[in-house]
Amino acid sequence: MCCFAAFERPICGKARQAKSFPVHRCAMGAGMPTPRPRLSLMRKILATLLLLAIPAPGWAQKPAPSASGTARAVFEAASAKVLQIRVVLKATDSQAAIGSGFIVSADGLVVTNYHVISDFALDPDRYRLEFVRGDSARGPLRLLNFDVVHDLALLTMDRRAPQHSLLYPDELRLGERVFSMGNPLDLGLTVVEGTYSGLLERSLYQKIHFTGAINPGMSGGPALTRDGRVFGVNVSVRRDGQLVSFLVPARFVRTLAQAPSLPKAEGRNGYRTVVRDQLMANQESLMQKLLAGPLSLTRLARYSAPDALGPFVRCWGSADTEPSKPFEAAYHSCSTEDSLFVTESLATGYIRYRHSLFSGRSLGPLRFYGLYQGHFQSGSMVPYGSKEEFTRFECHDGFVNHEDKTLRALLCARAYRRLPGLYDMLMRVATLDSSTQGLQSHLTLSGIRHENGLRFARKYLEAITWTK
Amino acid sequence: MDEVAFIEILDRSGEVRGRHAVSRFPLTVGRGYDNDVIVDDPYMAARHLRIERTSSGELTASDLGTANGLYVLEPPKRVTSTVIGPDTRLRAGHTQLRVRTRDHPVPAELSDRRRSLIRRPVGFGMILAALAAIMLANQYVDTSERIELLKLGVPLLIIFALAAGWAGLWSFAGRMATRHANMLAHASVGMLGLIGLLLASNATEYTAFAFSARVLDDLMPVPFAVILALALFQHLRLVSRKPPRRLAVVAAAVALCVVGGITLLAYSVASEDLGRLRYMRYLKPPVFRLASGKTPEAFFSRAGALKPRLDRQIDQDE
Repeated sequence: MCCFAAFERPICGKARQAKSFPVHRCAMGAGMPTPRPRLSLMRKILATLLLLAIPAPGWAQKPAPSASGTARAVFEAASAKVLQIRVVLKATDSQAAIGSGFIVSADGLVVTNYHVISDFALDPDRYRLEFVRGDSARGPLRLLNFDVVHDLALLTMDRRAPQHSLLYPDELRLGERVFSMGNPLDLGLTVVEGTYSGLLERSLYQKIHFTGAINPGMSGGPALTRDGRVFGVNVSVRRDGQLVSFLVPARFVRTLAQAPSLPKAEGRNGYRTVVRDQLMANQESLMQKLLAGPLSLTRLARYSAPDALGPFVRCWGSADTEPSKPFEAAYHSCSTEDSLFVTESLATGYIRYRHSLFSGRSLGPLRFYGLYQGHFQSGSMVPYGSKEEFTRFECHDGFVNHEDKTLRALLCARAYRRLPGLYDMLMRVATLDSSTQGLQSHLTLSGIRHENGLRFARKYLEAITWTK
Repeated sequence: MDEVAFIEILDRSGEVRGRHAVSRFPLTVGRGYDNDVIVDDPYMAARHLRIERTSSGELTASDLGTANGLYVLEPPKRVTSTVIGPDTRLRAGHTQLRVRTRDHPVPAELSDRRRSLIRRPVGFGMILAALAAIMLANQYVDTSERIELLKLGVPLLIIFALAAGWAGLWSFAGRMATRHANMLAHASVGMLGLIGLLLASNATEYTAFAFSARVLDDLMPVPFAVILALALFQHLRLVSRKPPRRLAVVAAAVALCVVGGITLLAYSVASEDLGRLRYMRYLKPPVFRLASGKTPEAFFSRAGALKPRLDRQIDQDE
């Protein structure tokens, strides 16, 4: 039953109220959908960082200086291009969230993470954006565009910048020494040495694996090659690992910078429609992919059920085999390890499912079904959500004939109140083909169109089969 | 000497606490030893009231000029002199009394409920055994762990302790009201009620599953209220001699309030819980299924109706 823990949580890389806020507090605040795993290993969290670019003064060609020497050079070359980004609460004129950012053009374009400025994007009447450069220089920032899916935002200082970073959108070699910059926990600008560890192969949303220490507050800061060019943007860390950090590849920065700016949004909903449209487009392409081909299948005793939906889904097996128990249970739990940060209390865009196989011949039918019913009623896999963001669940259930046998199916959905058109859906299926053995499957789909959810749920249900 | 009547001293609930036969009218009642009926009530005057028969044959009671006065009850009213019937209750000082004559009719004897099963040890034993059997069976079915007798027995003991406490309270009430504790009978009634609740909830689970009917689960409070009302009625019958119809009304009202209150409370707590799913929660062995299955096509097209319901939730709140 481990598994669902294997969730990457976007982390709040924005350190809030720096000193009094230990890193973990910040991360916990990120009210991610908690899978409530019973036993679990692997709890992952992401923390956000930022990128900055160093104008390439050609260090790379020289005989490689010592590592620390390079770090100093990178830092000195880039420090004027890296900013602290602040989201300021207008009412009290105090910082509500901080992150890092970097200048990418001479006319003052600045890149950071969407999650750094999400408060502003969703409520521009209440917040404003500002940057701080070095010790003194500060000024307002204006939001031009953002990419919720890749967690990027494009801002402008509305003034010319004396220096800016160059992007390096290509791949580096594995193991190459690279640097991340940012302002961790509001403590001041730092540079972190680390290793380029390649693109994540098994991720829903492409990310670079960076082996280095990234901390909250560095979100949105640049990750730099030795010659000072930006190849990624600090975005998140895994909490269950050490120095396992993630970057948004620079090519998404380039795409965002080339897109037309958004019209200025005001009012209670701010840029919510933009967020919604991006999430809609994202779920549409993901669901089209999932609905297109057949599902790969895994076997659990006599039963066959959906296995990993793609490389971006990780599955874990576990079993409940205490010899003192008069039944056996085996679990196959799968989940995308990505989810999309919308607000600190709202993550979306993930898929999780778990098959649970129960066998208990020695229990007899009545006791076996006591156990089986208990699992059907368990609250696991019900995503967390606040009243402001979600409606209550509405459910439909019944007996469904499938493969000339009958199973019990429950399908529940809830709507996103403030992102109309998006829904969370969960399904529970229990086979009723034997009096002392059965397979249950619990599925959670987050942030999908209702119709897509139903189509996928049906495909999923129909993939559950068994032999006698 | 032929005029024999009885002065009955009553307690607050109307039960006779003392009965004095008198052979002539008029007579006086008071604390002094020169009265026909002597009552040790410090709030009564030495000579408090006189009771006499008028020429027309009616009985009257008159205040003999006391400080605390003479009252008729229901409704209470101070009087100096009043005609009294066999059910008129008088209050003098802190004492209630009434006068009945020899020819006062009494109702037919009650059937001896002592012989009914719930009052007899053998009935008690049978009910106890039935409750224990049902509870053990439920627990046995509900545990998927290896069976440990000790573990099975502990909840049984707790339930029996609670039942004993419940019966004890009723017995105490009965003792106060009628001087009969009827401990065994109260325990039997309480346990019968528990058996009813257990059977009703089991029956609900199985029928809800069989017919795929969540509504039966929602209606669970109805049988619960009925069973509670029946049990309360039996308890009240044991502790009170009030007319059964009145007791039935009281029992029904209390049961309705208790079950209704708990249901509303549970509902309001649950409606705050956004993670709550409303569905038919029971899974029973396949042989208990009676409803037929739908095709996946039909199931998912019905599930399509969730969308307008969700969208309505949003509209309603705006």
